[in-house]
Amino acid sequence: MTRLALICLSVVCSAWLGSTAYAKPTPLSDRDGSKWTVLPGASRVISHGRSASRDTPALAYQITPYTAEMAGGDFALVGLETPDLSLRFGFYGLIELESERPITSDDRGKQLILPLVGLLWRGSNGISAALALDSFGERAFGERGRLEFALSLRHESEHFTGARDGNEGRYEDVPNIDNFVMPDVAVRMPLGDFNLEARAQLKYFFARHYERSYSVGPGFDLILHWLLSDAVQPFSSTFGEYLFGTELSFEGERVQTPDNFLLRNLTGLIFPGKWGEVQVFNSLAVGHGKGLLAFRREALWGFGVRVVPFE
Amino acid sequence: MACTESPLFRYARTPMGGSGHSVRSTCIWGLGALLLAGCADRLGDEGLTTALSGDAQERCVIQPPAPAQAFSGGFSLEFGAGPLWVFPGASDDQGQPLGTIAARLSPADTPCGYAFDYLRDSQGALLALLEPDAGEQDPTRGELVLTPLSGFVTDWQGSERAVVFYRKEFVRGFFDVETVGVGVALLDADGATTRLTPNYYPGEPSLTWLDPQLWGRSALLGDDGLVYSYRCVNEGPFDDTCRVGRAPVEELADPAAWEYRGAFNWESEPTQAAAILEGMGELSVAYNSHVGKYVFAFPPVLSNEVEGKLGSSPSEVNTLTHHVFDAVPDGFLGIRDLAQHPSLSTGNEIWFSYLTNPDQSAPGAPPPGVRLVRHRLEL
Repeated sequence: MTRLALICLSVVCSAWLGSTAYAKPTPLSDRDGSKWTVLPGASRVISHGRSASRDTPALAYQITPYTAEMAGGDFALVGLETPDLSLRFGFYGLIELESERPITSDDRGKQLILPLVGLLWRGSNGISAALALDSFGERAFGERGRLEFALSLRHESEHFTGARDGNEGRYEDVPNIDNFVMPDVAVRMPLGDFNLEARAQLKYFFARHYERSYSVGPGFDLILHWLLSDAVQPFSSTFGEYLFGTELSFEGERVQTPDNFLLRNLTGLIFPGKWGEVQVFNSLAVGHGKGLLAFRREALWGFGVRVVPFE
Repeated sequence: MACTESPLFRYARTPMGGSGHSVRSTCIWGLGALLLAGCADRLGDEGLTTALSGDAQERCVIQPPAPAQAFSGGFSLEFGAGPLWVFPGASDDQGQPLGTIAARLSPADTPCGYAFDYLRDSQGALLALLEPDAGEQDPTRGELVLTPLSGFVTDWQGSERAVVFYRKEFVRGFFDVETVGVGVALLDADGATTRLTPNYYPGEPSLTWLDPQLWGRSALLGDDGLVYSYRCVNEGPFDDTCRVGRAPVEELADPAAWEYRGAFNWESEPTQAAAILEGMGELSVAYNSHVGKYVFAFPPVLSNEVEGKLGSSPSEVNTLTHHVFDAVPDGFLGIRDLAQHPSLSTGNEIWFSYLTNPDQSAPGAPPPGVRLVRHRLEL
């Protein structure tokens, strides 16, 4: 219950902070000495906000075609800018509600607003430190070019809102993600009117409350962003991840968690705004579900809308 | 994948049971990448690999020796000279009962992996084990039948003997059976049997329990030196439970020596026994050295699936239930006579046998009979 309260608090805080202030990054040419800034933006200079990962925190509504709704935020609490680099200490939190199955015509639209057919949800929060080599990035890749190293510490738990009898045993053997650290390195390369962003990450799991269900999880982002106009910008983002299952003791017995993978692409339009951006996208995914659907392997085609602050 | 239309989007009907592992229709494209669209296709369902997960391979359907045409699944006994498999309920092609027969097993290059050398008398006829005494017969009650339930091999007063629990009943017809109770017999590797007589019940000196306390299922010797046996009963529609009792080996025929696991303590009255397992009408329990625990295997009621649980002792069962393997479906009530055969298992294997009678009206139906399955564990 304490963890749940913490996750709820972090989501509320991120939403509140996101609505109050936003200090845009200072262009490299305008930097003069070091400057600490409160809420300088996203937790990373090369933000996660356009990632196709299901862990991207945002205000999101998706028909994947499961009904999936998320409240979440990712922001830097404080940042340091120098003429050569940016350092950000950030926070991350999300709660995602998801239906137990894809919507069908028999639902008659009932699931379009809320995931009413079995309510699965997961919560995640974490902190991060990110160091962007701004001047090196621009020298190496040109204007807007960046190279950034980050280290995150995150927690995730999965839950199920059951019937009054508790639906005992329905998801008893689905593993929890629990805790992990995640170093990642990202690069943004400008290509004319396009930005190409690439990120490589590695989750290293260390369960605190149970034995860990996964050992490591390498992943990547590849994002192509077309700076077409100030009003609308097409993008295509691909995320891939592979989690290696472990052998662990579960209810006093040795079990092996199956490996888990996901390859997902979002292609759509970005509508930039004052505080962030609205993304409307089509999604294609192959692989395992998230949270309590981790044992389900599917090919999914859906769509979604999400609001990402600080982009 | 069956995508059908709705006013807002196109989507898939995805079976929740996970049976659809292939694309079953084509999605309708054409609304453009950003239009409201959706499809789902279930590619597979996975789960934890458990201590009982593995690859089950049916080795053979065990062929009864002539003139026997059929028999029940039975159980095997691990004698020092090799396994002895006891098959109760043998019958010939006219359906006439032949009693209980047995076979010595030896490794062989056969589909079963073993050769079955059936015990025979001096005239070469199949040896019937555990035949009732002539003085016990009571034609007014029906034909007296002693049916072995389970057993194990132990050092019995200095010599290797198998302890076999058997059910005593008078049979008047297929659905007209008077069950009397359960007794204990000693069995030699050559098939000679000696029924123990605890002299506890007047009129039934050879029995340890009287109906309805029909214990003696899946008897085994625990690592604490005690004998454990189980009682599985149907207490109502889909209300099948199994309970456990235990006794010292040397007193196992004495009803007063048995105690039964109750809700909190071991009780002296069998009626105080509490269910340790629910949802199955039969049970096979054996220690598996590879797993390092006792394996409780069972087919759920009216099921053709074999499931299992683990336990640290014959009376302590973990909560998790594991799928073990899918059996050849029975055409009527589900598989039965499931048994583990520790005497056949080596390394990471569990050998099972079960009886199934597939619906023979279907073309290409598999033959009925007792099937031998080798299950290789993954972990």
